[in-house]
Order: sequence, then C-alpha cells, then structure tokens
Amino acid sequence: MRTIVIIVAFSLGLYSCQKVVNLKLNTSSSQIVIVAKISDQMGTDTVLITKSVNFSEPNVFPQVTGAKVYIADNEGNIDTLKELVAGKYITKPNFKGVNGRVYTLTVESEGQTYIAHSAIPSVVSIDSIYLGTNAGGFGGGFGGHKGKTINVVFKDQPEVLNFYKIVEYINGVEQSSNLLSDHLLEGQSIIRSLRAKTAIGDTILVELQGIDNNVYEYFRTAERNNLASAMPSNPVSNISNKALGYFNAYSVSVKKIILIQ
Amino acid sequence: MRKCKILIVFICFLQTSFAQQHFTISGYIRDAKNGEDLIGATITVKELPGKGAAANTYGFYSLTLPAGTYQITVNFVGYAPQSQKIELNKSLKLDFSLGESVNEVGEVVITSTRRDENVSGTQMGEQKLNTKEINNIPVFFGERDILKTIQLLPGIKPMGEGSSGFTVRGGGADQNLVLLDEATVYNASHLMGFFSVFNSDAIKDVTVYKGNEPAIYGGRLSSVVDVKMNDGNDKKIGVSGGIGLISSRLTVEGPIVKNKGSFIISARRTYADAITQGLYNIHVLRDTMLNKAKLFFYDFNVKANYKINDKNRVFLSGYFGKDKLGLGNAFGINWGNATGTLRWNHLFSDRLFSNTSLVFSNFDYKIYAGNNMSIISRIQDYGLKQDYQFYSSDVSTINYGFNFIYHRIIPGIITLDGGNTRTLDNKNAIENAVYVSHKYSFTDRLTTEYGLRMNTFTLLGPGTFYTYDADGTISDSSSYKKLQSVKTYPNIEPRASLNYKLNEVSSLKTSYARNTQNLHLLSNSTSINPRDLWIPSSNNVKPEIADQFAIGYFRNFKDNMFEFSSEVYYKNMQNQIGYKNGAVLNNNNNVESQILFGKGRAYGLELFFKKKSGKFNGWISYTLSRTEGKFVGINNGNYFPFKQDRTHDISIVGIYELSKKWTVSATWVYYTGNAVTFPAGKYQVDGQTQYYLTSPNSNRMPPYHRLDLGATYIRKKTEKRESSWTFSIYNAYMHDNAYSINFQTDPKDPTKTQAVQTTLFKMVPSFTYNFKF
Repeated sequence: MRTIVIIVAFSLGLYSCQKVVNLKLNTSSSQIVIVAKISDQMGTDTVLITKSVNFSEPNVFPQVTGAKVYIADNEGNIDTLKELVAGKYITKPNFKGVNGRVYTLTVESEGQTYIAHSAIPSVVSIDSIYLGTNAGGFGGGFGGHKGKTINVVFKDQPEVLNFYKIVEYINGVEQSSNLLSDHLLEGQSIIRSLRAKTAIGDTILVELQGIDNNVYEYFRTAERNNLASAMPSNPVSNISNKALGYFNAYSVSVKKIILIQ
Repeated sequence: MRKCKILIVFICFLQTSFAQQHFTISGYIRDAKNGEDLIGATITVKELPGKGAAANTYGFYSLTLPAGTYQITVNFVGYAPQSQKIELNKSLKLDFSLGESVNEVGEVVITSTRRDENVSGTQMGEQKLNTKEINNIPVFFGERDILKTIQLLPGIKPMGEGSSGFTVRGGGADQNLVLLDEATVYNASHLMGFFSVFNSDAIKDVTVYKGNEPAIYGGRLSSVVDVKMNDGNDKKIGVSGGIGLISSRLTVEGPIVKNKGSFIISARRTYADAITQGLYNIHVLRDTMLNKAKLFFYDFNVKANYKINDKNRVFLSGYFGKDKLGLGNAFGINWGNATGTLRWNHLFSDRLFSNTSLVFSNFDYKIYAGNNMSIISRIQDYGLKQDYQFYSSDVSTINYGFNFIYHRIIPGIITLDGGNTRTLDNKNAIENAVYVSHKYSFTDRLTTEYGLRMNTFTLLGPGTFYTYDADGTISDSSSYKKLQSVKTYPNIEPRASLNYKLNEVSSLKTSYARNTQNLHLLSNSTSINPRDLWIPSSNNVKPEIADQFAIGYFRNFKDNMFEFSSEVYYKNMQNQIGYKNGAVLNNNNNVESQILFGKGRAYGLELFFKKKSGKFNGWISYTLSRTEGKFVGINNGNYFPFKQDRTHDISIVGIYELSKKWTVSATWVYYTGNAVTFPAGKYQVDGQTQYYLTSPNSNRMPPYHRLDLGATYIRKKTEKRESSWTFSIYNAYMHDNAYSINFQTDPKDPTKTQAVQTTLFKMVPSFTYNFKF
C-alpha cells in the first residue's frame, strides 16, 4: 500500500523526494542474538551468537564467546557444541537431524539461560525447477519485472500442516527467500516463482526447507517488521528469555540447474 | 373546606397563566434565487430578546409565542436579513425567501449562523460550515474540500498527508460517523486520501460534532460529520463547474416543476493517469513502473425533491463514486462508495415535524492480480430512520425517533489461479436505536439540551462462530441459523449539555456524552487503506464505549466581529482494539483471534479565535492534547501514546479581499509528528540487519508544517454568468514533510545504518477555471 501511495503522489505532484535524516533515537542495552540451524542432512550445524548494538553505532555486532551450547533431541541424545571461532558454535561433524524428532537448544551465557524447541518436519521433495515467466501470486504484484525467473514445483503433503522456506542460491550467493504455508493449498501441487533475476550461465541451487510452525512465525513476523504496520514489534522468536533470533530445525530437499540458454 | 379553597385558588391560577394564549408561527426559510433550504437560519423577535428559533435540516422553523405584535427578523450567513412585522392573534404560516447580501465584502464573509451562536447555543464541540465559507480557503489542487477544511478547526486533525482519514479528540480514524444525506459513508477518501468523496459543488452544509452530539446521532465514538447535499435550483436551470489541472467537475441543476421540485446532478473526474501517460510518452517516466499506471476516480451526486403539498415533501438522493488504481492488468485495486436515501417530510401540525428516511449505503473494493486472481470485499447498510421534532413551546423543543439498520459484511471472496474460490464468513447484524432529546431554556441565561439514546446491536446468523483462547487457537464453535441471534449488546447513551450565559457576550458551557460503537475497523497500516476490514461486535468483541466530559468558555468581541472559544475535554474509552504481535488481518476467517482489547483516554485544550467580518478575516486554532492506550500484552500493560497522538496542533487561516476582483488567502498549519516506533538498536540475522524495537510509539515523526497560498480572480460576475480563476500553491515554502521514515544500511557505507525520510509533495501549484450560468 505504501508503494501505491507514493506512486499516486508522484503522479499527482511529481515532486516527491527522499533524503537522509538525523533522528534522535532511543537506545537499548545490548541484547543477545542466537541464530541456530540444524537439518536432516549429514554434516556440521551451526549456532551463531552475537549481540545487538545501538542504531547510531557501526554495524559491528560483537560475538558472544564462552557460551555453553547444547542440542538435545527427545530421545535422550545430547550434543555439546564446540566454539569454532568467536561466536560460532558447531555440532559434531556427523550430526544428522532425524525427521519427526523434537530438538531442544540450550544456551548458557553471562549467567542467563536461553531455551528453544523445534521439530524437524518430514521431507517434502522438489519435483522440478525450471526457468519460466513470473507466475505471480498476491503481494508479488509490484515485485515483478521483465525477464525470467526460476519456478519451483513441489507437492504439498495432505492432512499435515506444512510450512516452507525456499532459499535460492545464484552462483553460490544466497538470494532473498520465499516463505509460505500450505494454507489454501493443502495437498496440492504448488508452483512458486522466485524473485531473483537470472542470467545465462548462472548456477541455480534451490533449497526447499520444511520448517515448523514456530519458525514460520518467526520468519513471517520478521518480514512484517516494517515499521509501517499499526503495531510494529520484534519478530516472534521461539527462543526463551527475550533472546532475539531463532532456532530452526528443518528438513531439506535440494535441486540444482545451470542456465545454458 | 381548606382543600377546596386551595384547589379553587390553584385552578384560578392555572386559568390566569393560560389566559395569555400562545400561537405558533412556522414555515420555511429559503434562498430567493434558487429555492435551497437555509439550514440553521435564525428567527429572532425584537420585542422578546432571547426567544427565537432556527430552521431545521429542511429549512423548517416553528416558534410559539404569546399573542401580540412583533417584529420578526430572519438571518443567515451570506444573506441580507429580512424583517417582518406580524400581528400574532392566530397561528401563522410564514415563509421567507432571503436574498444574498450585497455588501462590499461579498462572499468573503464568514459568520456563524446566528451571530452569537457560539455564545448562546448549547451545543458544545460543534462546528458548522457552509460552502460559502469553504470556497475561499486554499486547499489541495484548488479543489475545495470539506474534509480538509474541517481539519483546520481545533480538535480535528488529519491522520497525515496522504490520508483523508482524520482523528477527532484523539479518537481513531474509524471513530467518525460520516453521513451524506443520512447515509453512512464508510470510506470518505479518493486516491489514498488525496481527495475526499465530497464534491463541494453539490454540498450545502456540513456540521461536525466532536463527541457531544445530540441523541439523534449514534454509532461512532469520536465525532459525527453530517453532510447535506444541495437540493437544486427550483426556479431555473443552472450549470456550473470547473476545469482544472488534475480534475474537472460539472453540476447541472434545475426545476422539475418550478417552485415545487428540483433536481441536481454533479459529477467529477480526475485524470492524473492521462498526465502520467503523457509523461511516459515523452520519456520522462519510461523506465519506471508508471508506464501503464491507471489512476483516476470519478463521482456523481444526484438529488431530486418534490413538494407534494404544503405538508408533504419527498427527496431522493444518491452518491456513487469509484477509484481505480492499477498497473495495466498486472495489479490493481478498485474501490468505491454508493449511497442512496429516500426521504419524506411530513408536517403533522405547525409544531410537529416528521422525517422518514430509507437509507442504503455500500462500500466495496476489489484487488486483482493478473486475469485470474482477485479479492472482493464489501459492507452494506439498509436502514429506516424516523425522526420527529416537536416544537412544544418557545422555550422547549423535543426531538425523538427510532431507527433500524441492517449491516451486511462480506469480508472477502478470494478467487485464485485455477478457479478456486474461497469465501470468508459473511457477517450480518442489526442495529436498532430509540432516542429522545429535549432542548429547554430555564431562563434566558440558562439553557440545556439533554437526551437519551438506547441502542441495541445484535449479531445474527447464519454461520459458525468461534471462541478463542489466549494464544488464538479455537476453543469452541457454535452454529447458528439464518437470522438467529448470536449475541446482543444493549447500550444506553445519555447526553447532556448546559449553557450558562454570563452576560450578553460570554457564556460557560459544560457537557457529557456517552457513545458506543459496534462496527470496528481493523487496520494494519498507519493510514486508511481500502483493505482495512470492518468487523461487527460479536461473542468475542464487545462494543467500544466512550464517555466524554467537556467544559468551555466562549466570548465574542466588538459586536460579534470576533469570536473566541476555549474548550477542555476528557474522554475515557473502553474496549479499544489493539493487535497481537504479527497479527494476520487479511484473508483470515479467524481475525478475532488476532486482536487484543484495552482501554484508552484522551484529553486536551482547544482554543479558537475567529474574525468574522471585514475585508480581512480568518481564524487561529490551537489544540494541546494527548491520547493514549493501555493493553495487556502491549508495552507491559502500561499506557502508551496512540499513533494519532499529537501534542501541538496549530492552524492559521487568513482571507483578504484585495478588491472586487481579487481575493487572496493563506493557510499555515503546524503539528507535532505522529507517535511512531523507531529502532532502539540493531542486530544481525542471516547476514541481514534487523532493527530492535523497545517501547511502542515512544518516538515522534518530525513536526509537520506547511503554508498554502491561494488567489481567486473573479473574471466576470453578472446576474446570469460568473466565471473565475482560482490559483493555489500547496506547501509554498517547500518544507520537506515526512510521509514515512525507513531505516536501511547506508548504500555508500555498509558499516552504517541510516534513516531515510520520504516526502510526498515539495510544492504543488494548481489552477482551475470556474464557471456558472
């Protein structure tokens, strides 16, 4: 809607403009930020712990060192993560999440404990990815542009509430992701157009993540963290004790293509 | 024996007091040139100062006086007063036709309907404007705009640039009842708020009540904006209109039967898209999304009336408007209002006036993307209103009546690619009200208006209705059949006001009113958005309630040339609606699980000083106020300011008649920025910088101020023809007013974040050619 207002104003007045302003903002004490991801693929998984800073400070986010980080599943297995470099904690090398299990993340730092739970959904596989014209979708109205983008096709699981995050990598660089739930699309074959522009010769990797409800809520409210909404607030994190960030235990399906023409 | 004596004395006493017989003069007050009813025209009696009457909405007045000889004078703003000597020894029917005042000052006179109305009227928090007053104020694009003009008065503030939504005494944008000939207008804005839906060529009168309205009105907490259309010239055909830079308008009016009936049709259209298209063609906007932008609105006002006989008159009025906004077929949104009213005035006697109205109102929008996907949403009202005005004596008038409104809300019919259609549950409700209101003068110093409105709101089936637990999951559901009552809320709304005249030129007033509201607008954005959703009170949502107290001091100077008002108000609000973190309001059948309930309070001081006559006139208005809310789950349950909270609000309007041909005007406004939530810190997740928010609405947008200049050149003005040019400059000193502020990483230095302000309009000149014949 904001975009529409600006277009209207622009058409009527032709004189709108933007400029950088100096504002007097509130400050806050440094908040802990935990970004933890584990998947059902074999390999190390990571937990990044940093701190927030005040708005006027440079974008240097202090790492949190010396924290105790554990990931346990609901079958009694516990993994203690090792701090690889400052602020980056990794699981053991052959860690593999199991679909259906509920994982608990525990972080102890500076006398505070932060706990989160996330369950790995079952795998939903990508049927195919192909180059096509923008298949649209509500809210995508203004996002469209000339040129072709990647479409992803997959079949939703009926009878189960599914939440997805589609991450696209073009030549190894992560693009902005797509978030969706199977609301109104239960059991159907879903086609999604990804927004990123493509060019001939690009290597495209698409990762379809199955995520749980709480993680979907985090990403959804983080997307809406635009201050234009009536009651802007911080994203709903699934980590306790007012920590920022999220704990995402997800299932993965990956497809890769190279654009030849 | 003793008892008999007392009884006889009592009867004799009664006889004596009735020995002085009373008779009624009544009739209609109209414009001599075109027959329009003059709403609010006043009748005064020279021999009985303090006694008088005012013409009602249909130009009818009734005044009961003791038998005698009197000189009656009729007054109305912009017209020459008329006097008549009468012998009152029986009831008289006396109509008046007033001619426009022909003094040097011409159309620039701004006076209130009764010269000392602000001092003697009981109504508090009321502002009246007629179009003669609105015509000379420079406004946006030279379009005279009623809603923009009332926002220059104290206590009434715009929601912000780019929004025609307005806030009255700290209330939300949905707490204003906007009526056009008695039908509710749900979205009074065109093109995201740049224009209002009121074409001032078709409008006769606007009255705004800031929360202390009389019992005849109800349904919204904060204000009533009662807009009346012109009836049309019942003597001869007239055409008027204007051609402007961005929009044009045309009005045709005339008699159906001379002096018995008339009609008026007004139309208006903008063509901003033609301009955009033109610019595209000359390469200015080639690489932007505006290549196929579609951007226009049009509206029609239609009215006809007919006097069947001396006691009966019928009116039919309608409004239809549509906005279309889009980018070719890729994406677009259309929306619009339609209203229709059929009314019948009947005079039961010279003291009992009745009006019966059948009312229809519709607001809908359609959003589409491509050829296959759309969302349609609609709200409709069907109503019957019956109002009686009984002019019982020269010190007493009683208004009473009842109304029924049937509300039908279609929250959304969603059609997706592949032909799937999904319909959100429709809502049906009935709202009934009964009211009585008494206006009474105890003495000629002390007058009161008090009343009671009893309102019942019932949510009806068919449908399935859910209850939710604290985290929003469905805890219970029940099915209801068609017209079965799901939930009923009765409400009693007392209203009272008192006016004590300290002396001829000043008075003290106090008032109290309770208002309830059963239709609630859910909005996820900071400005009125056609996608906002109206929901009825239900098993989950209680009626909103507001109790407002006000006290004021009013004084006129120099024989009513200057008017000064000061009012202090306090408003307590219950069952206010807030939103959960990340609330999903669109396309959600369970939208009632996404809201929180709390309370609010608003208080303030309003000062107003007006010069009403002379070559130079205008006004200054200042409001100091606060509005805040308290919700469990927001801000730890502490009070926080509502987004429409604005500490200071100043408007200065000046109009100067340079000569018979030229009039210039200027408007300056200043207000504290809206309460907003800005980041207090930042952090990084997945390589993206996120902003950390602390207390809600604890920051402010930068102060808003701008100067508008205007000039009118009367090219020709004769009995038969008029033509003029209006020029205006909006934001003459080009202040960068913030429409929005966004936060981003500095594109030149990724180690820093910055705040970027978007301004909508730097300076907008405009001119319009107006004609009338």
